[in-house]
Amino acid sequence: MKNKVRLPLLLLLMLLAFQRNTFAQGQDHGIEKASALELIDNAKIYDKHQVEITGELIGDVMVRGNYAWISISDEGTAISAWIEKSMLPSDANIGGYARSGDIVRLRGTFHRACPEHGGDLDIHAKTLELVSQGAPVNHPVDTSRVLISLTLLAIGVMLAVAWRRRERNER
Amino acid sequence: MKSSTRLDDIRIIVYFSGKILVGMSLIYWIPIFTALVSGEYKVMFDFILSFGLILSIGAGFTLLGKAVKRPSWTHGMVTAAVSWIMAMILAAFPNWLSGHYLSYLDCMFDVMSGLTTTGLIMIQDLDHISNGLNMWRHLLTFVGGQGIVVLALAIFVDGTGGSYGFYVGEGKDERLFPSVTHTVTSIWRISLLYLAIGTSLLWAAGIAIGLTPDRAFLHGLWVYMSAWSTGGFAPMSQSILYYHSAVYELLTFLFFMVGSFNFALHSAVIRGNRKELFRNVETLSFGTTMMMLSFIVGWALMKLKVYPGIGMLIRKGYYQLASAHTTTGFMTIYANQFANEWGNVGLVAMVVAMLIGGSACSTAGGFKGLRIGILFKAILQDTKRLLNPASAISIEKFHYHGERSLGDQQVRSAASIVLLYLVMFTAVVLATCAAGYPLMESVFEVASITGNVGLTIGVTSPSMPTILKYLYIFVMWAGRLEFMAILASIGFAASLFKRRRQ
Repeated sequence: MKNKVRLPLLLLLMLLAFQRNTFAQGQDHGIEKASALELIDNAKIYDKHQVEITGELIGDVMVRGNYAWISISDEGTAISAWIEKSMLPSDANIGGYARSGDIVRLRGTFHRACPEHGGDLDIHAKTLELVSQGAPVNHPVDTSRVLISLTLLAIGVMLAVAWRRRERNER
Repeated sequence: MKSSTRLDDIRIIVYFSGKILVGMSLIYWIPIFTALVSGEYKVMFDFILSFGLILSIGAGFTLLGKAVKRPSWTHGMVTAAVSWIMAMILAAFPNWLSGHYLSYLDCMFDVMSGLTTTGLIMIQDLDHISNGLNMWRHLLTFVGGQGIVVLALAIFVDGTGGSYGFYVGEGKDERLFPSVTHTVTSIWRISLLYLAIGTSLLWAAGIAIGLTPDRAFLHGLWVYMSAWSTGGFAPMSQSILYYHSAVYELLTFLFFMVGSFNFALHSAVIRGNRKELFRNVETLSFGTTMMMLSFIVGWALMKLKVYPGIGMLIRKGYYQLASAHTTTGFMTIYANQFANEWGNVGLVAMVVAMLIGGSACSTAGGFKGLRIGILFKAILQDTKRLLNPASAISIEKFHYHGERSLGDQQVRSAASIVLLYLVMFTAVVLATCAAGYPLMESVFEVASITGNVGLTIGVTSPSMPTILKYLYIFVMWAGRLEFMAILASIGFAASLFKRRRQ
């Protein structure tokens, strides 16, 4: 009789233990390293997971109260992150035409459709580390291009003047 | 005699094409000034070089060509088609000099996409481009929305007799006033009035959402130019998602909705005739299709549980739908999210919205609401004829700046254009599938190209086959000019060939 009760109980406990184990696996993913493109392409899979992304700070820092939106460009794909304002140093280099941005490593929760931000795809940052500093980008003026510019400008103006003169004479 | 007539025709077309290029050259000073103020001297010289080139070629054409006081309808049509191609080739030069493109073809693709207010892009590393180049991209889309021929007609008001052919050739057939010159200057006045209001509002919104005042101004100006022109270019690669702001989304939504309305409707409302807004067949047609498609998209997104709340569904679903229906192309989701998350029903609704498009004589593309309204009325009339006795006379009326009776000619004209769009759409979907892309993605992307929309599901990229790039450029051009100018050009070329053989 005891054996008859024990066996189903044992099976039930094993089943519960197995279920608990699978549930825990579904919730605790650890931190997954991914590129911005991988996150966007597999948004359903990474949804609400803890992720790590490394890339260049670009565009603007849009401060909203104690938080801010930043954009990180990873191999040409940009993704936005919602960070605490204090995470970003005031002298951070933000990438654009005249400057390459700081390379940062961001860890946080990835959202396919963030309930806090109207369904936007974003990352809520937990940590932000500086990997390497950005620097000004020099765009030197090419002397030969300047000469060609001025030559073409002179030719264009001369032809336009000749045309307008002809129009006036014909009238 | 015959050969001298042929040469005269070509010289007249060369003359007016040159005039349009000279008109277009004047806008180069805006990016030159922007680059100067931003301290981007390399970019400034790139634009001076490009200005010199287009001015030389344009003025050279006017000297080689033959001026006439009243160009014929065919001259106008062929000039419109030719000058759009010339403008694409020449306006791509500063893009190429920027070093942000893999080939000159990619530059021309972006320029045609801008001028036709499509909004698809081939540019590399958009997030690092100069203010001068960003100004140029958005300026092209703003000017293209109004029309480059309309721009030239507005500048050279002194020599535009017989200019209706140019105007129609550029895909506009609605005259706001009896004179074409008066009409084109009014189009520009309306656009510049809205530009001032729209930029100011987006500037204020930009500062409120955390942009610095100078960045907020530039972003406001660029995004407004793109929204009003139903263009779809944005200063950053994330499009409107970049701003993460409901206010910014609401403002852009309002601007592209307004931009998709007929210029004649704007003119009527500005002159105090607000009733036209609610009675016009185009606004009724647009409202009806928008409502029906909203239900479909809403149902599809709800069924797939794409967004966790109704607020999010409205914000994301209807923004993309309105962006598609007005042929704008702004996005607040990533391109891949369409393919991976929206499902086939949602995507088909978007395809229908993109193909129908906005209003005639507006900056929008697609079949146009007017033609859909006319075809619907024609079906209604035919149904009534079937149900009524044979002796009964059925007259169908519609409101379009006054009550009008539906005539066979209007139905034929609307049906022809819609049919041409559908033939082109089908052919290019086949070509895209043949290049190896999946059917649904091909249908979505080609609807976007055909309707000059700019939403992408990921097909358009610098790595796509070269032949598809050429094909898409042709489709953007044909869709924007609504075939008339292209058919006229083919007819003109055929007549030249025929004369040569005789």
